[in-house]
This record gives sequence, C-alpha cells and structure tokens, in this order.
Amino acid sequence: MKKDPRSEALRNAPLDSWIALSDDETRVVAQGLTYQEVADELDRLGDNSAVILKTPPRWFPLAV
Amino acid sequence: MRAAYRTFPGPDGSILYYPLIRVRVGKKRGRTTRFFEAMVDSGAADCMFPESIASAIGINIESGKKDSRNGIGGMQDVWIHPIILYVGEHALHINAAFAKTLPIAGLLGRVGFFEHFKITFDPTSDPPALN
Repeated sequence: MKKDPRSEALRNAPLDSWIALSDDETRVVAQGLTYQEVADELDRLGDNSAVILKTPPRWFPLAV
Repeated sequence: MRAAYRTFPGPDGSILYYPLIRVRVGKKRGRTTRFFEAMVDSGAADCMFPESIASAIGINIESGKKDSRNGIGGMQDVWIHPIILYVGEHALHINAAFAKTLPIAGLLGRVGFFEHFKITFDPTSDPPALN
C-alpha cells in the first residue's frame, strides 16, 4: 500500500479535535478542543506556517 | 491555480483523497484566522463553517440571521454572518452559514465560492487535483 506521511500523521491524531499540521503536512504540531486552542498553541510555538484542520469523530469516508 | 487533493486516512489503512484547500476567514476591520483546510463542495448551497471558527474571529453565531441547511446527516440550524473569505490572492466578501458543529473545518459551496471561480475537478491526475 502507498505510504502517505500526511494520512499517517492524521491517523495517529486525536479524533473529533482541532489539530495543526506542519507546513509539509507530515507532523501534527498542535492539537486542541477548539480552533482557538490550536491557534494559541501555534502562537506559543512561533509557528506561522502550519495549517489547521478539524478531525472527524471517525475516519470513515466523508459524505457532507 | 492548481491544488492537489489532500489525503485523509481511510478504513483498513487506505488513503482517501478530498478536494481540500487552504483558506482563511475574517471580519471586516476584525480578526482573521490562520490558514485552515476547507472542502470544495459543489453540492453545498453556500459556504459553511463551525462555531469554533466563528468564535475565533469574534462572531457570536446566534447573533446572526437564523436559517437551516439540509445535509446527508439531516437538517441543522445555521446562522448567517458577513465575512471575508481569503482564497489565494482573493478576498471575497460573502455571507457564510455557521453551524454549531461540522465534521470538518469548512465547506466551500456554490454561493460565496463557486460563483467567483471556474473550477474543474480532475480525478484522472495522480494525485487528483482541482484547477
């Protein structure tokens, strides 16, 4: 099966949470229960390049 | 602009591709978020974001005009607020719907997003991409 660092990082990330991925999308660099918790953690880390995501309750295929 | 689909984990170790792009949202003369990932969704009537994003830019969602949206998971209440949606070099002044919860950080739908761009989904490329 094809290796994908981003999906591997997400698979190990907390579910139903807000997280930040490093700019290269290979590592979770912050996590929290709200967007603001993650943004505050990135401020504390001085990280201006991470991208924030919301993880779903389970990694099922999405139908939104 | 060409944006490769982003991956999410799927069942049994599989990888699923989704048309997710980096956007920011903000209020006029107010706060703006960091970049977050939102899904480009041609099936969505308009742009939707969860309350967590609203709070970050100083919006109390229930102060907006109340409306409803039908989704796969059923109907939910939303509240409409004017925001600025930042996509690439574009700053779009739109009315967005905010819901108490969403499974992802944002949905970019027809009103407020697709009406501003000519968008092509290309699942034949590797990785899949949108233009």
